Amino acid sequence: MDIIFVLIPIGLILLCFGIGAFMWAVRNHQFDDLDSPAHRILFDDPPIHTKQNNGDDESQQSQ
Amino acid sequence: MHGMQPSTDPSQYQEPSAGTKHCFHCDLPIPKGVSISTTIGHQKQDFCCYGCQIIAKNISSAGLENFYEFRDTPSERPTQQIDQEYLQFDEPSFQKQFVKTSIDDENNSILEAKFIIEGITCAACVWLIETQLKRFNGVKQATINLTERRLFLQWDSSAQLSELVGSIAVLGYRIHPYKASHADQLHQKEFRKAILRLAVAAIGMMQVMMHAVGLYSGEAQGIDTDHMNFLRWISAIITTPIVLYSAFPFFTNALRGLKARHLNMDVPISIAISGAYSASLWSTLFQGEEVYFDSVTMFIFFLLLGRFLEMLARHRSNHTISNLMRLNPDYATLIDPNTGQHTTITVDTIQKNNLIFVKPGEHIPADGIVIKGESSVTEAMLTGEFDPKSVSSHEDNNNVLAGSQNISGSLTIKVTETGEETMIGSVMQLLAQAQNDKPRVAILADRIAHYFIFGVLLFTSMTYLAWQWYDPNRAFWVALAVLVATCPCALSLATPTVITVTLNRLIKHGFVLTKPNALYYLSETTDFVFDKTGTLTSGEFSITKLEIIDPRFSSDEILTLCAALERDSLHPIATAFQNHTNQANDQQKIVFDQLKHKTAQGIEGVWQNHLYRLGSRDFAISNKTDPPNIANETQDKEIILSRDGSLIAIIYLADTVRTDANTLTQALAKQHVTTHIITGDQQPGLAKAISNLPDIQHYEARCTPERKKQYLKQLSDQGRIITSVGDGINDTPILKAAHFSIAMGSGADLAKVHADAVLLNNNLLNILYAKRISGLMHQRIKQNICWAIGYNLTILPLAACGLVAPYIAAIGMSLSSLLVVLNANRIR
Repeated sequence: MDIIFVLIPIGLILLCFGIGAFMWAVRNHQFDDLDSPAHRILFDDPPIHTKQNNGDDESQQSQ
Repeated sequence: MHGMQPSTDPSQYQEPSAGTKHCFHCDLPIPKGVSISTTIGHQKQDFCCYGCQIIAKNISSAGLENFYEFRDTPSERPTQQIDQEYLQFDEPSFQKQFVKTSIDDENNSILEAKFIIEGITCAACVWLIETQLKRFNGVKQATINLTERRLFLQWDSSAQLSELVGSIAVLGYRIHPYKASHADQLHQKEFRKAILRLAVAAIGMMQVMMHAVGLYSGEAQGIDTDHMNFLRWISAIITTPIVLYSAFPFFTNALRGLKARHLNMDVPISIAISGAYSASLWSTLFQGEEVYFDSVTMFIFFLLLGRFLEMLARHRSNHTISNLMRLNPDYATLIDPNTGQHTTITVDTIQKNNLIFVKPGEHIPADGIVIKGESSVTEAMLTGEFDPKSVSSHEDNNNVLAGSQNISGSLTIKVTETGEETMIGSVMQLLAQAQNDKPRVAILADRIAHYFIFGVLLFTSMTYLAWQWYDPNRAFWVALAVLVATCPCALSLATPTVITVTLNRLIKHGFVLTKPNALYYLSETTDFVFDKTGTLTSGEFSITKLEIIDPRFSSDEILTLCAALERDSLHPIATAFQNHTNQANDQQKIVFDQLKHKTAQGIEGVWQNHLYRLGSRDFAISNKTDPPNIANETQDKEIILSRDGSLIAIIYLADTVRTDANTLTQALAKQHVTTHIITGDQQPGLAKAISNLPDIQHYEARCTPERKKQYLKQLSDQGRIITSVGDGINDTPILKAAHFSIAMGSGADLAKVHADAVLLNNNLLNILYAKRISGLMHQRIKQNICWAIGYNLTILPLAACGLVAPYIAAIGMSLSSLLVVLNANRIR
């Protein structure tokens, strides 16, 4: 179990890197929007831009 | 993903008639007699107006109809023309104000700018706009921040800004340039600092908890002293930056409070943190009994989380207000007095005695006098009156006000007042001052928390003294256990979690709170006070009656003729005919030649060699002996369609009551809420509205703003809680005098800024939803507080008897916080 004397300090150093990376991400505007990232992963690529068949417009008025 | 139309809550109201259809695009009810449809994505869909239909078709022809699958909130109904040109966006003098230029590696110039986008309702809108923009080759980056509802755009010279902006406008959104204000930058800094602190606390807390598990296991099954000390030291090292950095705001706040001799909540928190930390440090150094590093870090994390959520809610409201703060147009056209040349400038650079040129459709950017030209202007923004008034260079009617909209002709105006000295600017100032007078009740949680913490500190001291007498060795540790175990994590999370969830749910229904704390009053409301024009009525002209005088014409033909005449008109009357506008694939498209707008009289045009006129009697009819001695029995506005001077038809226009207004008042009456209408309009107009709204109990016409304020004061003096709903600047007195105020999304920006909430989609039924939710919110907050305090009170005696080990304290803390968060999330 004496190995923890080595492993835990290594873990702490990794931790510092982690926090450093987080600080960089915040300064890089990555946390400015907390709402849309949750939805962005679900966005599809749109189909190739073709004219869809919109069909006929129907409109009538009755007074 | 989600279904196409969100369900409106059926338990709250009855549909007026079975099977009332709702617009595919904006989800508002489709008025009787309107049948507009088109095929979107292989299915025929119905719309409430041509505006919605055109937008849906634009989305569909861009190949983006998946938008309707993705979205979970209805879109906004368009209220203005979407096919404007945005050419001014290309002018260098205009771009200078908000566009930044830089050079990239290949020596190309890159332009970037931010824009405010109105009409974003959910994440699907983000996808729609970003996808549309990314299609342009010149666009390097297009990212929308959903929280702020602002677009960040980066493009190079191969793309025209006007084209880019236009491509978003046809999808139904309104775009404005954005310049970061000082307040926005401060918010940004505050947010960054807070999230860094939170992250450090969160990461550190997880680390310390892992080590703590090691220590707990050691207690249970034995551990080498060396190892135990090592783990303790490591925990101390990790905790130290958390206490010094993440928890720093607590200490500064506490000190500030103490200096002012005021016990705020951060004082006991600071004592608990520093006490537990120092004691644990001592324990580590001198082989003491217990360490509480895990509790300390967890405590700091949960408290920071609560504060963070509060800050997010506050910032969200601030973004809304900051986006609304565009009361005047962003740009104006300046005329050089010597050369007569026109340049585009931003409004804040206009000075007195400048000459500015205002085209039809533009808003007037400053108070002034008309030097040249004649036109009609609407001052709807200021007075709520959407019937235009004529202005010209003639002495009697040459005054124009900042904020009004120019309708028919171009005007050259000499500026007399700018900025804060304009009428609208000075009103804004008065309101800003009066803002602080409105009484606000302190939030329940804060008050309770205050007394509670005081009680805990007292109890801790007593416990310490008691143990000193009983078993002095353990006295300190037991007292510390009491302090840690009764730390009010759950309590600090109780309110912010509920408020955050509530805000989010409300935004999904188009109900945007600018002052979250005020929502409490909505649930307790006893009286609803409505404005009439623009609130309960649509604020636009609609056709009430069509009298055909010349039998050779059918009503359809008449309406199509009128629509074609009014097609390019900005006069409010044109909106009445919007739903009859010819569509491109109609067989007989009527196009008028020599279309002329005659200010204050009407419109004329030539088609198939006949001169058609639509307007006032004198304008339209040449032969005065013609039958039209038909008296105008209604009080409605009358316009006449004629051909070659002979009368064809008389059309009556009036403002009509919104479709869901009756449902709203009916539902309120069922909930025993008294409803009132007070309006500046004339008595006949009010009577007409009342006839459609049988549940209104009190009403008054011809009210001046002072009278409105008085009316509300009378009510509140009787102890009644008032919610007011309005849309114009003349309603701002009642918006401020009420306990809770709602501004219509289609109303004046000034009203929106000063109201407590804005109803973005003008769907009155969302007011019912908001009322129900606010009651729920109040309930949940009470539940959370009860639970949090209950937990603390239960563990208090256990801790006092020395039965609570550090790990029990830690588990209890996290479980109670979790429960509070889950309970908040139950709000639907």
